[in-house]
Amino acid sequence: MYDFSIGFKTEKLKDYGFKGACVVKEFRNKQDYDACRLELNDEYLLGVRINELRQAREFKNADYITINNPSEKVFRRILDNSLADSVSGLELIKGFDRLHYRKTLLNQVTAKLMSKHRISMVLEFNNLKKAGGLWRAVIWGRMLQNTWICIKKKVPIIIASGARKENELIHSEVLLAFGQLLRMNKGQAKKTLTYVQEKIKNRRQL
Amino acid sequence: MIEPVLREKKRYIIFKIEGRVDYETMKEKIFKETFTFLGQKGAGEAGIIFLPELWNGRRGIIRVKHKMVNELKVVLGLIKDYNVKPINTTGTLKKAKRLMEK
Repeated sequence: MYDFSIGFKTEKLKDYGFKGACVVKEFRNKQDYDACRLELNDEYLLGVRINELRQAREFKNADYITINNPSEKVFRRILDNSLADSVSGLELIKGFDRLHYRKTLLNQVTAKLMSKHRISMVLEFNNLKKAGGLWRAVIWGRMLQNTWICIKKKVPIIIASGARKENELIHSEVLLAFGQLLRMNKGQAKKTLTYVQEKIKNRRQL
Repeated sequence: MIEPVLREKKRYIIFKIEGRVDYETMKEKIFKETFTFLGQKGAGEAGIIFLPELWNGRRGIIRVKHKMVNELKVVLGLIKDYNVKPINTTGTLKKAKRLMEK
């Protein structure tokens, strides 16, 4: 099992039940990325969190590209041109839900595009942990809706901890239970921690 | 006294906390987070029972209803001040005690 969204290198992965991880950071330019790549050994992948579309072209050959909480226009451009490996924070839009559906960036149209271009949806556990009160309930409901749409439209899902400090690391058993509470069955929950991650790792080794 | 057949099925979750914590603090944190996440109804349905005699400052055992194991694991992950890890889940107390000593 892999944790595909941590912000630092750590030696405690085995304590938390993981075989490997991907360190995801923001980089200003390719030189910074290459310097960081040299520091990490082959156990870890190094991912880039992009904020603008031009960065997707600059970091085209990175191990893993992801974008967090994009705007609608940027999200649609990424899906149309297949500019990233995954998208996270789809449930973090500001504002409350509508009368007939919950307010997220994911709908049946965008889900079909994600499935076609093999772009994954990332669910970060720390988004739920850091929220409190009513906002946590809103995020939980949106995650449920997004998961349901992804399962229906066959979009790959990644569950990750989203840890930025060492005390934010989450055990793999908790992430598996989290997946099952989002109405996935046991096999689907386990797949969210292994399937896409191994494909990306094999792609890098090629 | 209820017949064994009519009693609810249970699971024992062995968990570990980084750093030393006293029993009352740990119990309060877990109960508070359970009420926040599951509500009064969910917390009642889960049937959480702590085993104080088996708490050693870092590791402990919680008894929970068999259908609420996943909910409790997520609750342990949501606790903010301490890093709580669910290590194992068993059906019998004897096996849980053996796994705790490992």
